[in-house]
Amino acid sequence: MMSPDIFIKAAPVVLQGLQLTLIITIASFLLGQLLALPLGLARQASSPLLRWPAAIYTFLIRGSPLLVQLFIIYYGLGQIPAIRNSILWPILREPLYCGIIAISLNSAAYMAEVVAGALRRVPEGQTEACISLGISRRHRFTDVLLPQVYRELLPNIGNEIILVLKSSSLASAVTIMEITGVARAFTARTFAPFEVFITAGILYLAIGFAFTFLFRLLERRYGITGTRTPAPEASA
Amino acid sequence: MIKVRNLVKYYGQTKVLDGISLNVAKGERIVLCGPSGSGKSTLVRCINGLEQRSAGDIEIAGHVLKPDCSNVLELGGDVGMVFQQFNLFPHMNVLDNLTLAMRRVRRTPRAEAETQAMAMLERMQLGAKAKSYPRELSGGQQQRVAIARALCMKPKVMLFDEPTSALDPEMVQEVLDVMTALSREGLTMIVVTHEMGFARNVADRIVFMDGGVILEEAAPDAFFDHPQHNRTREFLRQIGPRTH
Repeated sequence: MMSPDIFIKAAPVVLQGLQLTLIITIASFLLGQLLALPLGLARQASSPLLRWPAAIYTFLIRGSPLLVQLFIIYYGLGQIPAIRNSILWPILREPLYCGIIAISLNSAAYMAEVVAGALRRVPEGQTEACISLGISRRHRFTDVLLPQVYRELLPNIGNEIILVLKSSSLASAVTIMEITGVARAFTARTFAPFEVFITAGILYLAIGFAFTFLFRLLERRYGITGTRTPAPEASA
Repeated sequence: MIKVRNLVKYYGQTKVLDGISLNVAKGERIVLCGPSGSGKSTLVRCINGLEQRSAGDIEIAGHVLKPDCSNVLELGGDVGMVFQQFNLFPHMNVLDNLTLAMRRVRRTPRAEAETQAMAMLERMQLGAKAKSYPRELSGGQQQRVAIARALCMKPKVMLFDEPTSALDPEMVQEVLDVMTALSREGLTMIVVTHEMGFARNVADRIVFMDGGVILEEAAPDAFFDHPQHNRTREFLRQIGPRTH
């Protein structure tokens, strides 16, 4: 039977993991978005020297489980003396950083494909208009193409942060006491997995709902100029 | 102002331009017409470097366009282009559409660019639309904004690639009126269009293309009243009702 007082006891315990879950989610999400842009541009590049490494990267990352990648980064890399002696070791030694790295590399691979797809969908006429006005390649990207791409991608990006939030629970596998981690530890003491994990699940839902709400606001604010909607018949 | 010599363009195996030579003097207004697929759009797109050519020389507004179009940005602004599909920047309001290239290419300070752009919009009777987004405008208004955007760069040549073909019939005239007004200001223009009434009123010379070559070029009266070529007569018969 489920017992209400275990719910009451579980809530503050599970909340202890909230901070780490938010740190992992937000850091991985931001890092992932940051990496996704150059990767997405490389996927779209005309030079095979850029296109192929990006294609191989996304194939490897998307084709293997995140948990396996996390284990490789956390347990595997530490086996290599060159890494233990490198300046990266203080980072790769920490499970938190390993979790953030694994999740952001993953998120970047998925987002890169989405960014590349959105770049492909910007009408050729936008580039031609820029060329005919003499706008340089750099400003074509920063002022015309990318603002349209990211406006179009706002719903995808909002979706991605939810996926990253859910991935963050895997960090518990490398000893990180985020929400899932503390829930598991608490279950081991109370033998009440149902109550504890339902509490954890509700907390994930609440965070996800907050992110969704935030992105709805962003969409309403910036998504207004839907680039591919045909012009309505406005009267002069 | 424009010198095109022996321009040849292939799409794969298909020859779309077959040795075009065309000289346009400063201030001259050319209307380019012909059946669809005759190569007229390809010609203007080659002239401003949006398409690479297979052979031939192009000189425009004081720039020699390289065969691989690698110096196409040098033309930018000096050669204005108006597209059939307007190609406004959908994420920017009208004013920002006009000032982007002025600021980025001409390095005009924002305040000054906006003053000039507002003056241009007033001229186009679009002053009230400065803060509107392209999707909030009618097709005719969008095309007038696109023309204003090109004009803000103070071009020496304006190219129009079927500027009214994507418009609802009732909006064609407002765009043609703007273009007619421009033609009176001494701007060098090449206009690809099927609007033969406009051609007769505005053009100094009409160039008729078919099958990738220039079949006939003449002043409007001679072109419409005494076409020399069979294909021209056939074309004018088909398009006839639009002449008046």
